[in-house]
Amino acid sequence: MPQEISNCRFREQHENEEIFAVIHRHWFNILTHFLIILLFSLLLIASFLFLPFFFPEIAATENARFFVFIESTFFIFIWLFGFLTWIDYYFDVWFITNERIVNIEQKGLFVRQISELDFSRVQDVTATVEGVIPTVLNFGDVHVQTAGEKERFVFRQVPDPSRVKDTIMRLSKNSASEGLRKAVETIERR
Amino acid sequence: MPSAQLIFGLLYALLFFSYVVVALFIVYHIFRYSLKRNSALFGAMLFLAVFFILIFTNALIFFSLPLNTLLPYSY
Repeated sequence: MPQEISNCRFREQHENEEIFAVIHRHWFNILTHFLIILLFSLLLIASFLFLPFFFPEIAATENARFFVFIESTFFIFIWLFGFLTWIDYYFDVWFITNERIVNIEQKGLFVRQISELDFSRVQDVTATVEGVIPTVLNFGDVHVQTAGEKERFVFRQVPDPSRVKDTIMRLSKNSASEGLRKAVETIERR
Repeated sequence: MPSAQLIFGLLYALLFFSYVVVALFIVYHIFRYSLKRNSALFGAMLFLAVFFILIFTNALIFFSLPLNTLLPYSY
C-alpha cells in the first residue's frame, strides 16, 4: 500500500507528526492517461518515419521542414501534457499520520485542495472494490464516515483499500483509547 | 501590410512563450510540492533536459523555415 516513507515530508506537516502511510492513486489510474499520450507519440513518430515513403512529394518540397516543425511542436506539447498528467497524479496524495488523515488534491496546476480529518472524528470506515480490473489489481475506494458536518472522507482508487481501512481503524481505536486514558487520568487527579 | 515572416514570427513567439511559462510552472510544482528532495531533483532535471532539447530543436527548425514562401501571397 504505502510508498517508501523515509525522508517523506509534506508542507502542512506538524512538527512532531509522524507519517505512517503515503498513498497515491493506483498506477492503473495514470496508465490509462499515459496510454493516450504514448499512442499520440507513436503516431507522431510513425508519421515522421513513414509519411515520406507514402507521400514522397512532401519530402521533396521545401515544405518538408514545415512538416518537421509541426511534428516537433506536437512533441513539446506531448512532453508538457505528460508532465501535467503526472503532476495531477503524483501530487494527489493521502497521508495517514499519527494525528490525522490529510488529503491533498491537485487539480491541474492551479487548484490544490487540502483537507484533514482527526482520528477522533472517525466513526466508520468502508473499503469498496468494484469492477473486474480493480478486483484483479486490488484497488478501490475507502470511505471514512465522520461525526462532523462533512459526512465522508474518500480515498479514491487507492491500492489495497482493505489494508488502508485496517490502518485507519487501528489508528482510530488507538486514538479513542488514548483519549479515554487521558480522561481517566484527569478524573483520577481531581 | 506586415510580412509573412513577421506574422509567423509573432505567432511563434507567443507559442514559445506559452511553452516556457507552462514549463516554469511545472518545475515550480515539482520543487514546491514533491515529497522527497531527491525525487524533485530527478524529476526536474529529466523534465528540463528533454524540454530544452525539444524547444531548442523546435526553434532551430522554425528559423530555418522559408517563411516568406509559406503564404500564397506575401508582401
